[in-house]
Amino acid sequence: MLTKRPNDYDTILYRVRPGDSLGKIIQGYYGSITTTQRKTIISQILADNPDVKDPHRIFPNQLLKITIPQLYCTAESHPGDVPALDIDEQYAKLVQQQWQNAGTPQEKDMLSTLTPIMLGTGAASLTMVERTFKANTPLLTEMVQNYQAYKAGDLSKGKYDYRRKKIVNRLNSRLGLLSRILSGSRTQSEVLRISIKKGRKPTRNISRQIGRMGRLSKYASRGGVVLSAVGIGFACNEIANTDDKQKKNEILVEALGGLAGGLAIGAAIVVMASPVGWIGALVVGASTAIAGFASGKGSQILYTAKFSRFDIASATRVTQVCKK
Amino acid sequence: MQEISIIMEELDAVAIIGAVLFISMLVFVVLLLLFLLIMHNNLCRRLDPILFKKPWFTDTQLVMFDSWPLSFIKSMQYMFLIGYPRMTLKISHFTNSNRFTKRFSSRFNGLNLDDVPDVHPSLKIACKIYTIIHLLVVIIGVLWFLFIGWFSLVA
Repeated sequence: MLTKRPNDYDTILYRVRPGDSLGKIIQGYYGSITTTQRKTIISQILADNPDVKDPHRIFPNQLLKITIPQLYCTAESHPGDVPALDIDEQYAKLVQQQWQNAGTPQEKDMLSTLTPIMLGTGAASLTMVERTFKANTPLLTEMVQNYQAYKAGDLSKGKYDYRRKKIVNRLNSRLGLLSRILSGSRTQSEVLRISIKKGRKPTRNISRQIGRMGRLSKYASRGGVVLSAVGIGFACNEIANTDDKQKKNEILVEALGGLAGGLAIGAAIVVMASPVGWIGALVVGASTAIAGFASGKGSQILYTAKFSRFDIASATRVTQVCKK
Repeated sequence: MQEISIIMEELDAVAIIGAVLFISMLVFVVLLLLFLLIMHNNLCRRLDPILFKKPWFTDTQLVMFDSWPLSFIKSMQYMFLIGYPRMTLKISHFTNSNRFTKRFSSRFNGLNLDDVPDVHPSLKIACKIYTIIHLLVVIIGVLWFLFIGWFSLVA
């Protein structure tokens, strides 16, 4: 029985699939091994998982703590388990539902105040997520090239191991919390295993990870559009949910003023500057959002003081579009 | 017409200025967005293979401007460059050569007038019109913010 983990082993949490058995799982990670070795590994698994009484009785979705070798393992990719950044219409609806379900008027009021800010800041944050994924895809490509160089005999095993560890560490530190979105509960080291299954390309898992990163980048990019739409949707929701004509007009004027004012300041910034880094890009996004907020509030004050007798919402048919 | 004149009589000068600024800003912003959306696809397709690389853009800009929404900044810069190349390159040269401004802004680093790509005259005119609308939006936007700042204090 292995009581001490050697340095070249990792411990993972494996989610049991339908049809899995301990023998099958072990073969997937260790490849071809002797019966004695298999028995030893099974004993280790039973010791690590006290709730597993019988090695022949494991259940789908059960989590097993398994010790696996760091190199030359196969890691089955299960896309359904990866909590991808799934920004789609359903997500947007969910966010709106949360607003509708907000308990107190103060909570609704706070969410309403955040509406113009969402237009700018949300999109900027998602852009940063999208860029981080896209910027790290080359690291995965480097990992594939590293393996190919080793197989071609250009690198010794020691050099290959060293470079691989460096790449994984760099990926982990760059992705940070975003690695959870990409890989779920698995570590990057576990996800990026070289596959040893016959008939399967050794770098298949890495190529899949590259594809996943590319897809998540696209989701993040589309998410920016959705968040902006959600912001406008909130304003429409507020108009629909209030019966006071004056309030409807104030909300409409605030939303329009916020949108136009924010974009005007964004246009002014772009004339003068072109951001060179992340901080610059976030400053552009945040400035646009803050300017939008200020412009919206200013528009509302002007309307209330001078134009309150004009029913703009009805004249522009907004009340017919945004209704319960 | 009679209704409009009644409305104008009821409103004071401040209200009229505010309304004019608000409506004109809204109208020009909508025009700006429409122009940008139409030109964005056209220009990026033509100019990205020529201009969207080093040394005209930095490494970070090459990543940042690759997709929505920051790719619109790249399209705006293309339109300034095609519409008014001399003015754009003068401003770029100034920001790129100044040690302080270079930290916050870098645009078409090292690009000369001869390197500016040739485009169809209609595209050039469209870029000129866009640049004018963009500058109008900036001017009206600044006036609007000054106005609401003042109005919020006195109201």
